[in-house]
This record gives sequence, C-alpha cells and structure tokens, in this order.
Amino acid sequence: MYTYDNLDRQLVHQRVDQFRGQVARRISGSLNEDEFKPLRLMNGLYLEMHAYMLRVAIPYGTLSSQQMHKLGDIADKYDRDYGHFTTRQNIQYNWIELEQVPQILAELATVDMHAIQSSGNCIRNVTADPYAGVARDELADPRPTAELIRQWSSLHPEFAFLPRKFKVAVSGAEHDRAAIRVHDIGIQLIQNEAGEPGYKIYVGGGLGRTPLVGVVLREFLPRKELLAYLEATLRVYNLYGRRDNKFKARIKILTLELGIDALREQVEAEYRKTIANAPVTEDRLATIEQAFLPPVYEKRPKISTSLNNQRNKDQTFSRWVENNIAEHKVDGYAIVNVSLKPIGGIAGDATSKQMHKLADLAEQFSLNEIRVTKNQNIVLPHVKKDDLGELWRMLYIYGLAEANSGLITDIISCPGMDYCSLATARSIPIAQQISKRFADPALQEKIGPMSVKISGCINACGHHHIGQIGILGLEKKGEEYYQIVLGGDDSLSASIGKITGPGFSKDEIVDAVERIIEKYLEQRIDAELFADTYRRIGASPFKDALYESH
Amino acid sequence: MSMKILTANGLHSGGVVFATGDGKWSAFITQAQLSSDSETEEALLAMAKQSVETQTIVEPFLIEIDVINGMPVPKRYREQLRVSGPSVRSDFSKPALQEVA
Repeated sequence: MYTYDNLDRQLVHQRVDQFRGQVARRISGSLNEDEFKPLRLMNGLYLEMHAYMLRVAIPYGTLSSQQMHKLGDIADKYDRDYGHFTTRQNIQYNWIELEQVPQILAELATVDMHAIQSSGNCIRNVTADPYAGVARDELADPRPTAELIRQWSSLHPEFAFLPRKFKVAVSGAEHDRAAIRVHDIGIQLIQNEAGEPGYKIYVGGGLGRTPLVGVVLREFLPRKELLAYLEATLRVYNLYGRRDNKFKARIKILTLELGIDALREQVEAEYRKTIANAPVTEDRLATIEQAFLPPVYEKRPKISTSLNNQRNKDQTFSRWVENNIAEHKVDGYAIVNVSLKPIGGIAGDATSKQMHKLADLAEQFSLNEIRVTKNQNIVLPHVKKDDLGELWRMLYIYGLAEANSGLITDIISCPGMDYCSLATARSIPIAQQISKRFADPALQEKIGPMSVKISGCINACGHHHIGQIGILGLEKKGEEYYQIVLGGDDSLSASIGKITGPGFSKDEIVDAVERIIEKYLEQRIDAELFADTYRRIGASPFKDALYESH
Repeated sequence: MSMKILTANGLHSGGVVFATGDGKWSAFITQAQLSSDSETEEALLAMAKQSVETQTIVEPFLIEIDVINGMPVPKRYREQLRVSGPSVRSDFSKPALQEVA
C-alpha cells in the first residue's frame, strides 16, 4: 500500500492547523456562516438535517487495518458509534460537533487520512476497482494511476474552484467495477497494438438530474502523458464550463453542448501546449508503483480440500462462499466480499465494533488490507481459501456474514431524507422493506444477480439510473413517492435506465418491485440475467405488470 | 394565515432547534413559539438574526405547522423528520419535551 511521504504528511497536518484556526474564528464570530461555509465544505464538513456530517476520503477505496481502526475510533469517540460507507468510497459520520472536527482531522492525519476535497467544486476523491491488484480479469493495477491523480489533484490551485465538482474513476480490468462511464472522467488502463501501456479516456459521464454515459475522449493515451492530458481537459472545462447555472455546470453538459468532437479539439489544442511543460509522470509513476507491488503470497494449491470439506458440512457457510467470494488472481487465495447489507439493515452502515473487527480480521487474514466498494460493502482482498471458514465464523458473530453479494438484497441506498438536507424522500426504509421482502436466500439465488439502487433525490447518490431496478424518491404535495427506472447498467456497456411511468407511494413501491421480479422470473429463458431479459422483451411487459392492477 | 414556528440548526452541535420566543432556542418543538400573524413572524425573524450574529444558530427559517392535540406538528414530512430524528434509528428519537436549552 502507498504510505505518505513527508510532503504528504506536512500538507495534511498544515491543513488541520489551518482548519482549526478557521473553526475557532467561526465560533468567535470573526467569520460568519457565509464566509465559513466554503471553508468547511473544502474540509468535508456539511450541515445536514440533524447535525454536522463529516465525509472522510478513502482514496481509491483502500484502507489498512490501522486506518480502519482509526475510523472505528472516530465513530466511537466523536459520533454515535457508527459510520456510513458511501457509493464513492468515502465514509460519512452523521453526528459530529463543530468544535471536535479539528481534533478528528488531526487523528485522521496520524494514519495518513483526511477529508480534503470530499466536497466542493474541485476534483473529488479518486475511486477505483475494489478488486484492484487481485482480480483475475485485470490487465493492470489501477491504484498507482489513482494515487498519481490523487497527488496531482490534491490542493491543485488551478482546479480548486471549478464550475462544479469533478469525479474521476479508474479501472484496469475487463469488467468495470468502478462505474467509470458515469464519471466526469473515466480512465481505463489498456495496451495499444504494440503492447505499450496507456489509457482510454472517457469524458462526460454522470448521474444526477441529467444522467449521461461518458463518451471516448481519447482512444489511447500513452501512460506518461496522463497528467498533461488531464490538465488540458480540466483547463478546458474550467474555462468553458458553465458557471451561470449550477444544474448545467458539470463537464457532461459541456460535452453535450459542445459535442464530443469540438471538446476533443479544444482539449487536444490545450494538450499540445501543456505537454511541453507538464510534469513527467513516468518516474513518479514508477516510484508509486513500488508501493503497490503484489504482496508475497504463499504457494498454495488451487483447490482447497479443507474449504470443500467445510462447505459440505455447513450449508450456510457454503452459500456465503458461493455468493460472496470472487476469484483471486493467485491460486489458493480468495477475494472476500463482506456485505454491509444485513437483511432489514441500513446499507453501508458499520458500527465501531464492526470496523475494529474488520481491521483485526484484515490483519489476521488479509495481509492488513481492506477495500471499500461503490456498492457500500467491504472487500478483504487477500484471504487464503483454507482460512475462509474461520474468517466466516468471525464475520458471522459480528453480523457481517450476510450471503447476498450481488443479489437482490445487496441494495445500494443513499442516506435519503432520514439524514440528507437535499433529499426529497427517504430511501433507507424502502431498501429495508425490499430487503425483508426478498430475505429468503433460496429466492434470492433463484432471482440471481440483481442490482437495486435507490436515491432519495434527483442528485442520484444512490445511483438509481444505473441499477437494473432503480428507484428515485421524490416529494409530491408533501408526500413521498417513488419512480421506477429499469434497464440501467453500470458496466463498460453502461446504460441509463428508463422511467417506467407514474410513481408509487411508499406503501406501494415494494409490491411494485415484486411485480417486476415476478415478470422477470416468468419471462426469462434459462439462467438469463435480468438485463438480458429486459433487452430482449423490452419495457412493455414490465410496465403491464406494474400498472395493470395499479 | 397558517400557523408557523421558527427553526434553525445550532452552530455548535448542528442540531435542530426551535425559537421559544423569549430569545432562547430549544431542541423540542413543544416549546416553540407559535406564530399566526405577521408581527410575531417578524419578531421571531429579528430574534433569529440576532442569534445568527451571536453565533448561536445557523440557517433559520419559518415552517408551517398544524396544532394537533395541542402539539405543533410540521405540515411537511421533511420537517417532521427534523423534529423526530431519522425514522430508521428509533434509538435516536427525541423525547417530546425537555427543559429549554
């Protein structure tokens, strides 16, 4: 894992001291709220419905055991004993007191963490494939690239006041687990025909009120030119992105209004200027790559006899292995998906006890490493197959062994109106009800891979546009109601789901989801996935199922 | 004219508070000063302005309420949640009444 150098540490500690002074001035009254608000947002501090919320960045979703322990400590000491893992690989604390924020940031700094650029119109936390470095289908590890971008974008003076926030995601695998095509910039690690490493650059993706799938800005970018190209792209956006209308300020709107060809022309023209002066990244990248060299794995057989024996003895364990374990690139090892979606629970929430236990388990079983996923779950990336039984028993004791990874109860849900001041409806209770309705493990497995994503407002933090079943909570005449969108896809073949028709009340929405599932089970051929059935038969049968009796 | 009360968030805790009408703020809606006329509204807003200037509260605003069984109940569900706390964490729900903060 990458560890901070002296410059990183100095920068973060200086920022803590700076914010300590800003908080003191706010409390004394020498800063008013209008002056203070942009400063607190730059440090990840929001004022939500019930309290301050602090959003802490987890760069490319990677944590050490020590860092996870610290997150647990903060939940315990400064919050109400829990934290919420988000769809952008951050953690949010919901009950923070203003005076305590500088101390929290100081504690985070001791483990090389911070909340810088987790809000505001700047380049946000860079996200990546949670299976980075261990996935079987990986061409190259995206973490060195993500770390390079983190270093370049942190407190970059030119890009501190962009027209709007800017999100970057990186993937190096055949399957996109970072949703790169719905980011402002999506970066895919590829090779050209000569076998040279480089990047395919997507631009203009995003969700929110104008959901759009990113388009190719550059088919192949040589690796060492990445920062120069990003700098050129950001510069063009900074110059031409709209500042007159918040809702049209993202680069996706610029891409749409200019057209991709015109945007590309502008970027390439700027790039020709920046390339001469741009920082040479090859050396830096090579240094960073040293921090992400694969750990020393033991030589182990591909098949674990002890694992198979345990699976034969315990059906619950076997189900968990079936659903929550992904193939590791090294024989004898497994990638473990730890679900933060217990049936009827709150998606992404973990108590301080659970965080400490995950840290301990990572230390014991996963070479000290933890990943946080955009699906609001946790990954232990380096577990020996022989250890899965013991690990599962510990997870089970701590309520972390739900065997639902990628199934219908593995629901993404934003905090919604239970916490968020922007929300127009609650999303958590809807997720909880759907989870309970489909709790039967056999039913979940019969349905198969399924993504249900719920947002409590048009800003789409719950990624409803790219769920196979997406749900958007809105307010109508003071009442919550819910629109359904179908056919979304967050993979490299990304697509935005389409609204089925009129919305449903909070008492109707779970039945509506059940009718969609019943129709799917009735219509699918063999083990056809929902997305394939939807493409084959279209929206009409689902609309009939939704509205005929409605 | 509909019945209103004045609400805000405390500067220090960020918690939801209600103007009690005597220059104080309470975490409990039952202690909120009810307003059914423009004079009372203006007085509440003036008090809020002063509280903002003395670093007590932030983002004050009036909300419409109904009085049900003698209790003020916000008309909008959002405001009801601000009063009661997250619907998904009953362990964080606030008691109906406590001494003025």
